[in-house]
Amino acid sequence: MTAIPSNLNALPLQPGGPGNQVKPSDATGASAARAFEKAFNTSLRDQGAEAMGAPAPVEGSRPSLAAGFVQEVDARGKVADAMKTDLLTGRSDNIHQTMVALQEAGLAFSLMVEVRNKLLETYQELMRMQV
Amino acid sequence: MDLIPGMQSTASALEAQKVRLETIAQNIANANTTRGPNGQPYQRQVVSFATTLDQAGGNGVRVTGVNRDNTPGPSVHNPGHPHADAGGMVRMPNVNVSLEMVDMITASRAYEANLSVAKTARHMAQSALQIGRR
Repeated sequence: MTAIPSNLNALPLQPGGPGNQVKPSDATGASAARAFEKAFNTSLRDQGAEAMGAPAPVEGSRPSLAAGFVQEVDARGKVADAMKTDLLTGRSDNIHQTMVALQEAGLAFSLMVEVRNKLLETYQELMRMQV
Repeated sequence: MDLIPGMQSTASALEAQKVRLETIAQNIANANTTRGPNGQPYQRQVVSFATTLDQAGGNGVRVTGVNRDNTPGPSVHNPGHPHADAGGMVRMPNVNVSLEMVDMITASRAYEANLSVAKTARHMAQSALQIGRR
């Protein structure tokens, strides 16, 4: 898993860096926000996809960050729920795999919440920028 | 790849130790069984483990078999026993309860060690989520 997204240099928050896309004359900052969001989305989606085991990308449209994450977390939750039901009804006696699946589903959900918090924080930081 | 590191190996190891403990329980329960369904005294069972090589890079343990230990058990002179042969000797199972108890302690410690690994791995993964938190 890459620790730092490779397209960090394209982010417009580094003054004087290569590929700096912030124009001082940009009144609304909307283009900077769009560029940042695009870079952030791509890097986070790639990292999220790697962390989640690379779910198959949707053909045609590029899945947004939220949709990809939510689908993967939901899939893990469903698997964990099915294993739990099997264990409780006696169809399976594999208590260890069930516990592992439950832990992973919980952790995936926490990861999704953290990512959402980070995105919100970034958005608020951007919105706070003076024009 | 797992979100929690090493969880696949640990879960397989816990399962393997569980099977080992079941075998030990079976041996101890039948430590005095002089006649089984095949007409012979009970022969103690032994588990054998092998490592698996998962495609995703994680190893694990699997139980390759529960085999019978065919060394003959001791013959005891007990003419009053219903299963005694003509000379008054009864063939007992080859289960040594002391050895089985030690095996049981080993299996229990191995199980606890793997549980500790699982707990630590989960704690590590949860701590990683704190990186972004202010």
